[in-house]
Amino acid sequence: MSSLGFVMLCHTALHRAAQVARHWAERDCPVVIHVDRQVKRSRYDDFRRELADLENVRFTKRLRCEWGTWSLVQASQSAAELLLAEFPGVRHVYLASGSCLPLRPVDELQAYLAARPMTDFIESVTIRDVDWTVGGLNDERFKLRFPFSWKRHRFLFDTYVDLQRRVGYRRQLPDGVVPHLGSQWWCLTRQTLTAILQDPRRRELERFFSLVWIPDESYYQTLVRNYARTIESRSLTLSKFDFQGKPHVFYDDHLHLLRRSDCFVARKIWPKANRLYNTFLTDDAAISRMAEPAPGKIDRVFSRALERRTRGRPGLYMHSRFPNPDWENGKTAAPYSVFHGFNDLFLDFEGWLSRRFGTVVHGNIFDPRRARFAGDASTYAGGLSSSATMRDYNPEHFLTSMIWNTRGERQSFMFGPRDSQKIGAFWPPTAMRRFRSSPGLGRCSYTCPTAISPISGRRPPCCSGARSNSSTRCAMSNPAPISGSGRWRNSSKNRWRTCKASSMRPRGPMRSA
Amino acid sequence: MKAFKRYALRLQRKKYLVRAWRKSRALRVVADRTNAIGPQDVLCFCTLRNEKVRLKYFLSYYRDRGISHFLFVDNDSNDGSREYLAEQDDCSVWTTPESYKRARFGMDWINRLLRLYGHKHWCLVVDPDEFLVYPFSDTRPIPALTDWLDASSIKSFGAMILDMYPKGAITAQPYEEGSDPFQIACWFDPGNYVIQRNWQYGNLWIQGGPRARTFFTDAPAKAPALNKIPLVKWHKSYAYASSTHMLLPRGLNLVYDEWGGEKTSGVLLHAKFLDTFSTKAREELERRQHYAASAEYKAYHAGLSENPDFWTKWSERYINWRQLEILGLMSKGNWA
Repeated sequence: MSSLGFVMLCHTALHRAAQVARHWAERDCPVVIHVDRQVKRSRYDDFRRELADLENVRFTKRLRCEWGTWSLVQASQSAAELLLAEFPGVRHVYLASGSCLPLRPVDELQAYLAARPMTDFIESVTIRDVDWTVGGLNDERFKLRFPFSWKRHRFLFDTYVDLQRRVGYRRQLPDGVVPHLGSQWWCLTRQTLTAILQDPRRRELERFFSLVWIPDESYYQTLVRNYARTIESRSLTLSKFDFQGKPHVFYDDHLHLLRRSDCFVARKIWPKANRLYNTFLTDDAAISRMAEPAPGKIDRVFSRALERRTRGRPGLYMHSRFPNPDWENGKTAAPYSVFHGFNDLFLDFEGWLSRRFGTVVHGNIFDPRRARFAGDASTYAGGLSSSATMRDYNPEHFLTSMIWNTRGERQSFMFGPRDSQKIGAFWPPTAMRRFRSSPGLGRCSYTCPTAISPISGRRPPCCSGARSNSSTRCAMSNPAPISGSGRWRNSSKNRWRTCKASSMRPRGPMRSA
Repeated sequence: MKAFKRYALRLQRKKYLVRAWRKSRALRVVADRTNAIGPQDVLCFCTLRNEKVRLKYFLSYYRDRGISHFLFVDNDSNDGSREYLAEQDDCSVWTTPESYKRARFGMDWINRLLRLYGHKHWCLVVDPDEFLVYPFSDTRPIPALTDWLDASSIKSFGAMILDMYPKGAITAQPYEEGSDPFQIACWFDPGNYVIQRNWQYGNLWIQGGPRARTFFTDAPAKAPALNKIPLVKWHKSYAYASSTHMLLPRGLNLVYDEWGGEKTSGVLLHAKFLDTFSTKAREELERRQHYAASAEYKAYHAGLSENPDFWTKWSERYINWRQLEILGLMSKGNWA
């Protein structure tokens, strides 16, 4: 007789649930199955027939289950009671769902539990330590009443919560109840589970928890604190949740990821992931390493999904990311430099700058005739056309695309009053203000840097005696001058670092002239 | 949005549905195997005319990705497309000699078929030269995607058209029936797209790519739209408003995130620019059945006779969906 029994809650993909139940039952682990009342009678009968030859599989009375309601706890209670009563040899009870899949041989799990006979594996944390609940309801789960279904009666649910908040209603916690939350998939010892199910105050506690929101994440997790001797506050079931609190589904291509996690059971598995089911439901003399489950090993994949879904890639505009103004999290993918007016004053300024910084320096990419890309190319990175009409059709996206397409390579370009000015609206207001405050070339609101503007009216652009004394400062930072930086909202202070004009002066052309 | 505007859109949707019914009376059944459609099936809807050479690969591509049934509207083909499709076990075929243009470029016929057969199914509406690439499309079939979308309560899935072209003249390498068109047309423009919001319908309007860069340099506003919403959990009250670019009700058009995040999206690889294109362009120019007085085809015709090469040194060679994801042409979003 096995020392480990399973309770399975099933509602969809029954053929897969049957496969998993058979896997456990054939390896001498009793299984008690609860099937949702909403499953059609004929499908349920087929399911039972499929498992009829297994004598250590039992079925409990079917209840109508709904996510986030007390019915799920009821189902697990009745199934656990049946399991404990019918299989006295069971020392640990494992709660699983129909879309769970064992990742390691049952023997390993049994040995792991046998080595920890008095330990309950259940994630059970106080509300303060929880960072994973979604929707803002943490302690209110216990302090308000939730008689309405969130899935079916959203309006009533929201209205009733709102009403309770307004009138300041607070529920009284029963004596000895310290709210704890955690994953609803646990593995408890017979002693603890019996104590919970045979608690003399069970009625009273049930009355309380039946109006808590998502009680399957708090009923056992709270009560276990009153009875257990040793609690390992983690679930043996690997499950990852996304930003909406919905479990990530595992597919065939997650095979190696799942292997690497060393967890005993994973959820949820896509029912049509044939390769996963075929691989993990066979005993191919798995290498028993007795490794400690390490769900954290595969966190990176899922935390990146979260990051991508909530923050996205800065500076990317595409058909599934089109942020409203000021929600871009970076207007462009990277900082870039705009040199305003320099090339009107100095011969071959672009060439000098490019040599000096070792980067690509464009000419006036907003030139009214055509975009002057570096090297006078007719197309540039990403297939950007140098056509002025194309560029002026949407200058903002012309610029953001250019910066996105050249990620990892600093972009610098020239700009001047003669250029097409539509792009001006895109540039950060802080920089624009700075431009305006400097003495300028007449009408244009953003003029060339201060070091150069005093002479620009009087001398030819390539004048040799530009007497800019060394104390004159130019608004060029090093190496990122007047940049419309990618994150300008946060870094307006450092962007305007100044430097000595002398150290930045393009020497070549000045001497030769 | 003002109430009367919302109501106007509602009326418009109804109008499209009535129009679809009216125009669909010209459809004649060639092969109706819609009884075989199961409740969980993902369906593919497609209008075509003289595309026989593409069909073999088209069908095998989507069969491999888990499409269970194809519903075709044949617009008076005379190259054997209709007969070929009628022989396929998973295809239902309708035919009509009526004007493609007057059926709102085939959308009326498709809207009708969607209403009749697409209700409560995930429906993919594509042209025979469009091949859907979505995150993990090399390892997961389309039903994996639709199951996930269902679980996330998402009803529509956006994809951008990505024009694929060969290196050198497009007539240089002939396309053989049944072969992968992207062996020949394997280049694309990775980053020259411009996006605007269409406030009335709530969708994005994307233009750019090789067509805009080659044929529409003087009139970029006329360049073809590249935004599409090809995969929708259909309800009989829905209607495509303009090609598959936008839908009504307008909530379905919100396939992009407005608060900085990325939603899951795909790309429709467009195998238009094969050697078959110049004949097709000439034919379509004579038929004058395309959008905006076939302005697009006029431009193509003028452009192709001058310089038929789209390739530049900034073109990217197609490898797989991960490449497109890195380039920012599609996103895995929250799907991991």
